[in-house]
Amino acid sequence: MRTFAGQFGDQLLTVAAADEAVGLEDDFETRLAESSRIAFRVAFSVLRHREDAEDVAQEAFAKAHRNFSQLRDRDRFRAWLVRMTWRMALDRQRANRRHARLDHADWEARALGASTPTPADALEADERSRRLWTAIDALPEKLRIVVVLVNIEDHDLNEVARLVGAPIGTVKWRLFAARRKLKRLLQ
Amino acid sequence: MTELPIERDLRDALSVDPSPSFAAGVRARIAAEPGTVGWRSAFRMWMPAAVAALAAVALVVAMRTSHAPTAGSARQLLAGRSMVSTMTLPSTASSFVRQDAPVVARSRAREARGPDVVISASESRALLKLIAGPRTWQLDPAPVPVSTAPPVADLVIEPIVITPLSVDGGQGVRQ
Repeated sequence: MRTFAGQFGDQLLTVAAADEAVGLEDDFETRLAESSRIAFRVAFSVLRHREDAEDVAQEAFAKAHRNFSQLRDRDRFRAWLVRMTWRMALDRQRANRRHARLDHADWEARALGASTPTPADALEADERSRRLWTAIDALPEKLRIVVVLVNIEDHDLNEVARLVGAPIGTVKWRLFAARRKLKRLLQ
Repeated sequence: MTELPIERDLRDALSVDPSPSFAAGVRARIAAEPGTVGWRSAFRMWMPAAVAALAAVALVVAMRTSHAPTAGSARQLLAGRSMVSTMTLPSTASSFVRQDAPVVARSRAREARGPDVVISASESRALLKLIAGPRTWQLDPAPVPVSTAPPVADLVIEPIVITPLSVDGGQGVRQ
């Protein structure tokens, strides 16, 4: 027969588990607020379509939520999410080949600033956009993600190394190789 | 290698933000997942059932542990059986019965120790020699020679004579 102390211990465990569940939910909400932008940008760098990028990033968060309780090191959530989003975006790109539908409206607005684009400016921006993404897409995947993350994370190579799960020396080498290849492609 | 001009374009191209409804969309997607409920409600639903199931399993295990024959009780039971067999059967037969009887708890320790000796060592050796004799031709399987002693005389049974009861014998008469 269980003693009163044993039953009381079970009750305490139940309460502790419920508290932990609440803590997990709050923790996930915090991570969602922190990492929404990078997940969306990573997806956008692959798909270049706003709705598709949001869809993939949201799906990545939902997947992360399903497995969040099994993540041992919560500090690695961001890296885990970025890699998952990157893979899911590549899968989406392969699946629907909608990457040809560039989000020109976003691109042109940012490339040309707030000024009203003339037809010549719009044409030039379109050409620059095409060259940019053609060159980026021509990079091997490992180099490509480094270039993208370096430009998303404002050249914080330590953070990029954490995100891709590689030593910083490897990241530096990949960035160097990527830039060399981009330069060659753009000449 | 320094930053390329194209990277500035890339940085500009990637400086896009998700829509304000992005987080709400994530929450809606999580809520709409089939068979998925929030952790809080999942714990509320499953934790009492899990605790009850664990308690039931613990109770069954505890009951089995208290009723399971221990090594000591098994030894006592075996000792009781050997006592009965040695009391009711001849010693040689009891040794076979002990080995073939259904043992309640044949532990490894018991098997390592070997069967208990319930007959004397000399008797056991003689029995083994008797069994192994014909196989090794150490025992002569020839018939025992006929004895030369004179045969026993025939038994004569005299006829039984029953004398009739006399009338004045007084049987049934009160004396």
